[in-house]
Amino acid sequence: MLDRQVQVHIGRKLKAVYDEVAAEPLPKEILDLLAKLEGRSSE
Amino acid sequence: MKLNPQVTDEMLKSLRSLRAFAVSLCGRTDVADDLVQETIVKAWSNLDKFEEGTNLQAWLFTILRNHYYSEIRKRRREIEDVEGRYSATLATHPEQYGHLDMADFKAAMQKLPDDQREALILVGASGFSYEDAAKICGVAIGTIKSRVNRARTHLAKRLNIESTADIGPDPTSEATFSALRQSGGKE
Repeated sequence: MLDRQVQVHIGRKLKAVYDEVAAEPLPKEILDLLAKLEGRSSE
Repeated sequence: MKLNPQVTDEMLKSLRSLRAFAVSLCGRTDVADDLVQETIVKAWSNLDKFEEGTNLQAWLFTILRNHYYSEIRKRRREIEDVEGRYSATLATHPEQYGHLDMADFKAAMQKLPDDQREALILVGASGFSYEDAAKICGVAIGTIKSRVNRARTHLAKRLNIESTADIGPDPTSEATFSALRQSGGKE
């Protein structure tokens, strides 16, 4: 079993890498796709 | 099709996290963005199969990871990829996290076996319980726990941080460590 502090260290790094992407706005092509699908479903 | 507005709103909220999961699975934003779009299309056409009151985010993650393993990874293996070109695309945002150790960490993540990497991300970054992570991956809870442990051990080895003395002071973790030291480091 790893040292608890090493686990905390890895956890923080992991979260930082992930949150960096999760904080980005969704790219235009994804928003366009959603708009297209929503438009179609409300017809 | 008649859509429940609550469901679509929740789906929007889940998409940023889903995209981050996709990036950590495949290590590339261009592939990840395609993967997210294909997941949305699949989810949309199967919305009637989604049981309301269950975890929509877990459902989306399940669709994405199954699609990744059944289609994308196979396809990528056929066309990919010199190690160098691959690693070069990993550090996508040097301006935000310019530290070399971040790039090292991303590279070490990509070298983990797929099953360990996804377990670690789902539990440690996406915020799923072991139970939900197990459902998403279609395995037992104990399997997820052992994958997460093995992933951490692999990362620690690759990054040479197998004991506290190897970590060294860095501004993001120093506060936590001193708090731990003050409490005697006991858990």
